[in-house]
Order: sequence, then C-alpha cells, then structure tokens
Amino acid sequence: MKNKEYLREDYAKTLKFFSKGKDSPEIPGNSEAIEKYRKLSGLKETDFFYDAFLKAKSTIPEKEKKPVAGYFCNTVPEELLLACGVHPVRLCSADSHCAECGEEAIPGDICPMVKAACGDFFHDFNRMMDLLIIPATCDGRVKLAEILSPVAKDIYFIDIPRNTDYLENVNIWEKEYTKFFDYLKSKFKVKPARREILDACVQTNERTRMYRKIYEARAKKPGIMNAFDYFIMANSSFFLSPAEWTEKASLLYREISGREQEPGRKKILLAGSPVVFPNFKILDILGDAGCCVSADVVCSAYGRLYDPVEIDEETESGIIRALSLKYVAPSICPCFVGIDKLINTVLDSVERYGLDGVIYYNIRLCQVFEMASGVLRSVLKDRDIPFLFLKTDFSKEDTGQLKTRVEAFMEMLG
Amino acid sequence: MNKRRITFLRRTVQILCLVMLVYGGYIFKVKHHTTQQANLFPALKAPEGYISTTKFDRGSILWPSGDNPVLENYPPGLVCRFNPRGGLFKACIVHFISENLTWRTSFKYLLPHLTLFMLLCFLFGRLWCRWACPIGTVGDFLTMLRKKMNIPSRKFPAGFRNGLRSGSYCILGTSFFISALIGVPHLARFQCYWFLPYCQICPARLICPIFGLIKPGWKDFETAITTMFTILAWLVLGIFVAAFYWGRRIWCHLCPVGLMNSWFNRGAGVELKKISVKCNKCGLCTEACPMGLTEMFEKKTDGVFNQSGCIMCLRCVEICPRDGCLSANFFGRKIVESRLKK
Amino acid sequence: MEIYAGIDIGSVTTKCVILQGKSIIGKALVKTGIDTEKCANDVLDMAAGDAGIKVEEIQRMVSTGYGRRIFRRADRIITEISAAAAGGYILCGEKATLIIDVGGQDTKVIEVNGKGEVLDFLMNDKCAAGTGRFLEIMSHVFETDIQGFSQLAIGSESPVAINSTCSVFAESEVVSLIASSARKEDIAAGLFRSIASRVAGMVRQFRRYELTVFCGGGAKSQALKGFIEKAIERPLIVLQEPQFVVAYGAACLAR
Repeated sequence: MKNKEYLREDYAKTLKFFSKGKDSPEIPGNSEAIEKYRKLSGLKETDFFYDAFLKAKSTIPEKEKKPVAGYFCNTVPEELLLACGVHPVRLCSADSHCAECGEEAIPGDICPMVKAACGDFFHDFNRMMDLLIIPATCDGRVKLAEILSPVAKDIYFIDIPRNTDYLENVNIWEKEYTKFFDYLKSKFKVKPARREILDACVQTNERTRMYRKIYEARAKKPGIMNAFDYFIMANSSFFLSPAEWTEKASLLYREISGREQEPGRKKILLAGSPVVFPNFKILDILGDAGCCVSADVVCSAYGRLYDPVEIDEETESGIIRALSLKYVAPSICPCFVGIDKLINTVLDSVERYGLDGVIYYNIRLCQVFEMASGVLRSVLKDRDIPFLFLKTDFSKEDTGQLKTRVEAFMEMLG
Repeated sequence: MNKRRITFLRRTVQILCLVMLVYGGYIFKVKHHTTQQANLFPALKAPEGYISTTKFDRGSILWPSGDNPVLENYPPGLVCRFNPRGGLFKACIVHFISENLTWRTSFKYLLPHLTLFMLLCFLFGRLWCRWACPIGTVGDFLTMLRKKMNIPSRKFPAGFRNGLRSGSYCILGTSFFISALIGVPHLARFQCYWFLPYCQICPARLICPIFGLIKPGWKDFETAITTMFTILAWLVLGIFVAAFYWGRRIWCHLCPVGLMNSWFNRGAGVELKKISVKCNKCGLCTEACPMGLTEMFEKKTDGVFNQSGCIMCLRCVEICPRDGCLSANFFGRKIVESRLKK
Repeated sequence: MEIYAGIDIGSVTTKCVILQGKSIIGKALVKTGIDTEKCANDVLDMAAGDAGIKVEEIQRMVSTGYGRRIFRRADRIITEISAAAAGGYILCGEKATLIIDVGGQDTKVIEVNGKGEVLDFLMNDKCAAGTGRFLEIMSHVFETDIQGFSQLAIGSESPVAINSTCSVFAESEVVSLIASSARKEDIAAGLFRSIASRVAGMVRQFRRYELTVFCGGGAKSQALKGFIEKAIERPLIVLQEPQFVVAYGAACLAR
C-alpha cells in the first residue's frame, strides 16, 4: 500500500524532481474565466458556487480542519471517506495550464485530462493531501498512480475489474472496497460505527436528491439555468462537503423553479467526456450556436450525482455492497464493459425529456470514448435521433470548425 | 434512513396475517359448517355417515381422534394441521391435498376449496409467501435479527437454488405418492404412521403449535417411524432456521407449498414489469431480492417478468432508484413504480 | 423574377452564384486572399457583371463557408453543410441520398432525406488530412497543379501504398519514395488512394448511399473520383462545375 511499493526508491528519487511545487495555488486565467461566466449567469444563488471555485484550492484544509483525501474518477466511495472523518476532494482537472505543467512528467501525446491531473498535482495544495486515491479506471490513471507515487504523501490504488456486470463482479468490488475501508481505518486511526457510514450515505443521498430536482427542472424547462452555472454547480461538488453543497443547491433550486422557460430553444443532450471547469470550451461553442444543453450524461455531473446509495441490508457488508452498486455497477464510463448502459441512459433521457438531439463530446486521445461514440451513433441513427460527434482538446485553435459543425447541427434540427 | 413504504406495508400485513391465521379462529369464533352455510353451498355439507377420521387416538395433535367428519375443517379454517383451532381459511395446500388423497375424498367436496386456492393463485401468484405465510414471518424475524447483529447474508449461486427447486419437487411428489398409497384400503393400516408425510417433517410442525398455545409433538419417539419423522422434523427445522438466518429466503426454494403457488406465477394478476431502457444495470434489484433471483436484472427487453421463484415482495420495485424502471401492476393497472426515495 | 445570390467564402476560393428563379444567371470564382471581406465583395461584383445586373437588384444574399460571418452584407448566414446539401440535392434532380464534398479545408459527407434536409453529416478531423489542401500541397511536391496531378495518377497501373494522409508526414513519405525511384504516377495514385480510402471510411458510416453526389473542388479530380468509386463500390455522380455547388445551394436557400 505504501507509495514505495509502486516505484523503486532510486527511480522515485528521480521523479522527486517534479515535486518542487509551484508557488501560487492560483492557476492563471481561472479567476478571469470565473468572472466571465458569473456575468453570463442571471442567477443570484450561483454566486456561492463561483466564489467556492475561486477559493477552492486555498481554503479547504483550513476550513475543514480534518484530513483531506484527493481522488480521481467516480469509482471511489466518498461515503467511506466521510465516515472516517476525511474530507474528500475529487481532483479531476481540465486546465490547459496544468496540462502544460504535466508535460514535465508525461509526454505530449497523452490524454489532456491525465496530463492536467498530473500538472495540477505539482501545485502545493494537492501535494498537501494526506492521501491520494486512484482507481483503476482508464490506463492513464493507472500510470498516473505510479508517476505520482513519489510526489504524493500517500497513495492508495483501488483495483476495479473492467467488467461492471453485477453478477460477475460484485464480490470483487465488495472485497476491494472493504480492503480500502480497512486501510482508511488504519491510516486515520478511526473506527467508524455503522451509524456513521449510514449518516454519510444520508448526506450524499440528500445531495443526489437535490441534484436530481435541479437536473429535471433544467431538462423540463430549457433556459432556466445556463450550462455554465449548471456545470459550475456540479463541479463544485468535487470539493464542497455534501451537506454544504446540498444547502446551497436547494437555495438555487428555489430560485430557478420560479423562473419561466425560454420558448423555442432546441434541447440538447451532452454525452461523452467529462466537462470540468475551466475547460468549458464545448459549452462556449454550444452556447454561441444558441443550443441549450438541457441534460447531460457526462461523468462530472450526471454520472457523479444522479444515482443514490440504496442500502438493502444495513450491515457493514451490505452498505459496502450498496456503495459498489452506486459507484461501479451503473458506471457509464467507457473504460468499463457495458456500453448498453450508456445507450440506455441516452435513449431514456431523450425520450423522457423530449430532447432534440445528442451531442457527443470527446476529448482528443481518449480512445474509449471515441470508440463508444460509433456504437451510440448507429443506435441513435436507427431511432432517428440526431447525433453529432465533436472531437477536440483544451486548445482554442479548432473553435471555428467546431462552431461550423454545431451550427450545421442546429440548422439540421430546424 | 429512506422511507420504505412497501416494506412498512408488508410488515404490517405479515403481522396481521400471523395474528389472524393463528388466532383468527379464536377471535372470530368461526363456526364451521353451519346449517346455513350448508344450505347455501351444498358442496360444503358433509355426506351422511361416510367420510370421517379413523380412530388414531394417539394423543397427538397430528391425529385428530374420534368420528369427526373430515370436511368439517373446510373451508374456511385450519391454517395448519398443527394449529387446529385457529385460522381463517385453509391455507396450506399441501396438507389439504395430502390429507384428501389419503381419505379418498370425492373431488366435488374439494371443489370449493380448490377453486378458492386457484382464484387466489390466479390473482396473486406466490404473493402468499412473503405477505402472509406465518412461518415465513417467523423466518423474516430471524433475518432481521441477523441484520441487527451485523452479519452479512450469504448469497447462493443459481445452480444451488435450482437444486433446491428440484428437491422441492421430490418432496412434493414423494409426499403425495405416500399419501395416495396409504389411501388404498389394503394398506390402511399404515395410515397410523405415514399419514401426512410432509406435514410431519414441515418446520411448521414445531413452530405453529407454539403460536397456537399447544404443546408441539417434539418428542414423539414411540415407534421407529415416528422417531424417524421427529428427527427429520428437527433436522428440517434446523435447516429452516439456518436458511432464514443466513440465506434470507433460501428456504422458500425448498418449500413445497410455495412451489405449488409458484406454478401460477406466470400469468398471475400481480405483474412485475421492467422498462429496460430506464435500467442502469446497478444490480440493486438482484441485491435486494430475498430469493436471490436474477432475471429482473438480466433481462434486456421490456415486459412482465414474473419469475417462478418470485414471492412478490416488491422489494425490487421499492429499492430501484430509477424513476419508472420497475413497476408492479395488477392486471395491467399500475399500482406502484420505482422512483428515487424521498 | 426575383434574384438571389449565394456566396461561399471557402478557405481556398470564394465563389458566388446568382440565381434568377431556378436558373443560374451569373457566377464567379476568386482565390480567397488575406482580406476576406474584400474578396467576397469582389466576387459578388464579378458575378453581377457576369449576370449583367447591378448588385442592388439582388433581393437576398446568403453567405456560407469558412468566412461566412465576415461578409456583413448577407441577409442570412448558413453553414456550408446545409448549403452543400441543398445544392447537391437540387442540382442532381432531387434524388440524392448522400453528398460528398471535398473542399479546401474540410471533407464532408452529408446524408439528406427526401426533402433535401440534412439528416446527418460527418466531417474530417481538424487537420487538413484528406482534404483538397492536402492534394494541393502534394501537387506542389510534383511541381504541377491539381489537374495535372490527377492526370498523373490516372496513368498509374500499380499505386504504391501510402498510409499517411497527414500533409506533413505524407510529404516526407513521398520524398523518400521518389528517392527510391518509384514511378511518379504510382506515387500520385497512392496519394489519391489514401485520401479516397479516408473519404470512403466516412461514407461507410452511412448505410444508405444509393445515389451519391460528389462535389466541391476535389470533385474536379478524375483520379479521386475513380478511387472513391472503387473504395465504396458505387458510382458517384459528379456535377458540372462542382465548386459552385455550395454557393448554388446557398442561393437556393435565399428563397
């Protein structure tokens, strides 16, 4: 479990070179972007989320006064961390500046999300994390665990089999999560009672409920909350505690539910790669073309917050199994086997909310997402649902071409 | 944590049924077979002088003594052989058929009860097992005990469950065969030991009398055959307790009463429906299924999936967090559908 | 009769078509220079001169193409995808199901329904791989223009295998092939085939390509047409003056 086990000590020393750290926790350009999107927002209650983003990196450790653990992806059970009195922070980053920093350790032609995650980690805040948890989702993350092992204080690797079929692998998930829980208990020297895990589950379930309300309100009434606000809100759940997030989101929900929908907007479902602040390029383009992202199935919003923990048996093993059924089994990440889940989710959303089309966003160099798009494309074509595939990265150079595509897509929808 | 309305309703019904089935006869003082009833339904009338219990006066509740007409207990009445005075209707079909195979009761006298049984099965399928069965309620209490003690439940593979189902067929077949055999006049002398072979090993033999405030026949070691049955009964009770304690409803795969109910499951009035496009394959329906059935999870098409092992507890519908994915219908009309818990 | 104009401001050339009713009365083509807006105005004047009318007589103008937003006099702006679909569909007698447009910067494959509306489309990736620009660069390597380059390729009997459609990599591949004394014709044919296979790959993602129209600047190359036909095993219909199809479609959509 110790980071040394991942990399031989003398190699680790070489990599320590990167750990010199960047002085300012501020990432250049972020505050400008925040202000830009804040101006576009017509809502009062979103201010909290924008502010939270500005202060995120510098204030968490002081505010929470408890150990902080960072993790990647959607398959790390937050509830177990919360039960152990640890503040969980999801570190997935999509910052072009961080991606450049990451190129110090990772060659250029790698998924920018992985590079950004790596570059982000060279900043002081992330290195102060008491624990870094990396699940075996995509190949990039697996290697990241090794590359970051000399830099991080401590690292834990959760091995998740690629098949997310419940019948096949539920016992393996249970074993892995139990191992992880035992590790947390011994690392932070706590013995959480069952009650505490259940309380953590209640917290995240409250968050899920609030999120679903907002999700459905947006899907049913296009235009009551723009996509930037929505993704800022969803992304801020990466580092806000569930209780705090729920409280603020309920205020936001109250505000948006009083609003009237904008008539005549085309409703779009956004699928594919995660949309993470500050990489709102795709939202900028879609917004400029006048289309309304009213629903999404991306892992930084829907995939993270839509499903609750449903506990069948309130035994410790039952709770851990239930967690794996929240995090792993319904995962629509194309790293796992089970593309029918993605297709089902897309088809269901389109039908339920009467959406006009599907835009599939693919971050360049993520092969699995791109491969999944082909299947989705033919399925949607069979059902006469318009589909647009957009492949891009964090850079701005192809904005013109993407705009042409999106505009043509909008013309196609009529 | 989450409000679980169906579970609450089911527990209420279970306790109500337990009380009514066990003490209903005391509470409502059902006088079977009044002249009025007999006039209304001639079939209920016991035939003159004919069928009556033979005199196996062995001082045990298994063998009713004297010249009581057999049909006095039908219907309604007698939840279980071992709780003779309680009960609001004749619930146990295995007992009913076994007994009448031995007594060689004419079919027309059995018709009202069989019709009632078929009607209930046609309406509710195997719903009986999870909502009304008194020994199932006792078993559920054991399961609750285990949950409180934080002991994980055992999951059994599909092959094991199918094996139990075959075992159930064997028990049922053997039981009916023996019952029919000892009904032959030449073999009538065996009746005194081999009467109701399944009932003699059924866990209810030792459980039901306790509720009926009757001393159970728990140490009937008079002859070799009764000794065998008593030992078997204890063994089965052990299996029953273990099965409910660790394996939730794994016992119900072995229960011949449930088996007979399950024949009517497909096509029953209660229908469990899945809209698979709304499914996200989280597996909660299978995780929560007390019978450990997987069909609801595995199916990738839309439709009604009443599996033969399904006891209609509606737990899957209740736990499913996807709005409208699973639903329970009664003859096509939606009663309840899955949604995110409030 | 009302008069409409469609202006297609592409990355390589700017085209203008003036319509009266359904018939083309004037058209013009210039190379797109640095000053795109001036180009667009020039080409409009030229087309008006060709038609023998004044620019003011044009009722509605629609701009499309890469620089569509730069031309401010347009009454309506549409994307080249809708324009190509409309143009290709109307020009081939309203029977087309699939339209391939190999332009300077983009290669598009557009599926249309029975009314000429876009059902679905695919475009190439952001780089110039498999587009007209690639052909242009390659023809420079052979010191000829696209037409000559196409003629060169037709003369080949056994095209060499060239895997790269990236202009930079292909160029170095070509240079090394020339050095290894492969026939010029075969190399040219290999280049055309590599593009054709790329286009065919896009076409194959559409299941209905009964009647496929080929337009855009790339359609002027016989070699490219031949190789695409071979790759998708279907005949292609090449319209007359394929470069003007998008501008024509834009003019049609002005109505």
